[in-house]
Amino acid sequence: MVAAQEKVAAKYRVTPPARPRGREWFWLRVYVPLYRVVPWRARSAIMRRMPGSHRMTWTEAQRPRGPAI
Amino acid sequence: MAQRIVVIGGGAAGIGAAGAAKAEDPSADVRVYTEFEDVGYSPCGIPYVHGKEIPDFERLFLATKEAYAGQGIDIHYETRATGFNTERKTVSVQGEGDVGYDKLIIATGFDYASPGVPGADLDGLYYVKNIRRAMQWDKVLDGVRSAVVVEASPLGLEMVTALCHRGIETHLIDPGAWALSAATDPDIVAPVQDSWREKGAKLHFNTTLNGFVGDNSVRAVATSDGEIPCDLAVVCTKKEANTGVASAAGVRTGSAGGIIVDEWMYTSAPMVWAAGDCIEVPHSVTNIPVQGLSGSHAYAQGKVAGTNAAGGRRRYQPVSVPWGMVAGDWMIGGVSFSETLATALGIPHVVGVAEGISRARYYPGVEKVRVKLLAEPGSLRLIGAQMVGREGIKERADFLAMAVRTGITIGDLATMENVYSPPIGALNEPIALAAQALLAGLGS
Repeated sequence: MVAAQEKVAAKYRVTPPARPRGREWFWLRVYVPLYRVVPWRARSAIMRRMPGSHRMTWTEAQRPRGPAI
Repeated sequence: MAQRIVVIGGGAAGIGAAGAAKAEDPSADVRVYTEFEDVGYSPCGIPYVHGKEIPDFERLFLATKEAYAGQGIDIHYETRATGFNTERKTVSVQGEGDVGYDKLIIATGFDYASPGVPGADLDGLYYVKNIRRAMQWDKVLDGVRSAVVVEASPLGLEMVTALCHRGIETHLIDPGAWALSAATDPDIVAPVQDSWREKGAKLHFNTTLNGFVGDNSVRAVATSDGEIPCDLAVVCTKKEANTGVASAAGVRTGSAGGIIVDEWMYTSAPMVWAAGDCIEVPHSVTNIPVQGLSGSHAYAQGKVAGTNAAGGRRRYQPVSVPWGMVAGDWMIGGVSFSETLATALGIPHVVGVAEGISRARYYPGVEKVRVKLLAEPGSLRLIGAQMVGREGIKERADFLAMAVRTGITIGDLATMENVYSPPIGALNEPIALAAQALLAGLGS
């Protein structure tokens, strides 16, 4: 999140998040660049395999097509 | 024999569930246990009573205790349910022992995340939740000169605005670089922050909470930028699902921290449903679970849980999460993803931004409306929006949530029809302008 805020802050030229300190440096400067290399499809596939309500039954709504009458 | 439906929790989800269960099966013995003195009020309205926009707390109640009794809903006030057993189908209730049920609905809501710092047990720390406590705090506010709001969460934004309206010297501390920095973008909240400063609020961003200072009662908040003297601290940390009782009974929870449910609000335990801030539901764009939504989500989920527990058939759908609020002199709102959140999750997206107007350009009271749209590259399906203005934000957020849910594209929005009537709508709809800007940016 902090890495994303840095990026968005630079785009809108506003004050960025505070500089990383201690362990934050590892997460921001090492983990995040590696995380960004992984394609979204792979990341979302991992997230979707985690336990949660999304793995239960959720029926997609059927939407009618064409003119109503 | 009438079935007994027990509801644990008397907030929006619990009362929604109880009412729906009774409507579905009028013969059912519907019983609600709440640890609080009241049920069925709007805690979301509390900041506006503190800010004096709403004259009294009584208006926040949906119905009287007699009205619930008249509907046949048996509410046990100030009665804590400490656990339940799904094999014996009993709820352990303080003062009542084990109470049997046929169907159980969990609506235990949320707790604020612990600040996790020294001094968190001092007097003078206000967690906005219970209306009776809010009534007491409202009297305290009359004597407060200086207050610190901890964290720029949605409630934090409302409380900063309320305390400023109240004439109290208000400080806001937040570890983020701008308000609501996990959910919104800096260009959207910038006008809000400017209006707070105009009202005298002191904003301390990139500032972490180190502790609360005082002997018995808080007299200062210790931060990474030093101590801020105060008479009161309003703690507005993240809402976490209150799943303690459910987890102890073996009900499964998910990766977002909430109780796992399906589209019927049915949990992993037999004859147990759940609803509200204690559950998690999938997001319609990502299919990743989310938790801690609005009172309207909780109430709707409660209706689904209550109907199904009583024997009916009612489905809930994945959420797109429209949101909106008044903060400072502005309305902000949106749906699903901001640029910041999409970037943080690594979701590919393209952005279009435009500034339109809320009424005809010549009509008194016309205001600027800034709209930002996010779309999936390629298909250009809408995946998020952010807005700031002084009117019409809520309606646009609701509309855009339906657009996200139904798979509307930026092309659809760029050519949308809109109401043109000088007092209520301009020739060019700001949403359409943002969509057209996005397409122009793509060179199409």
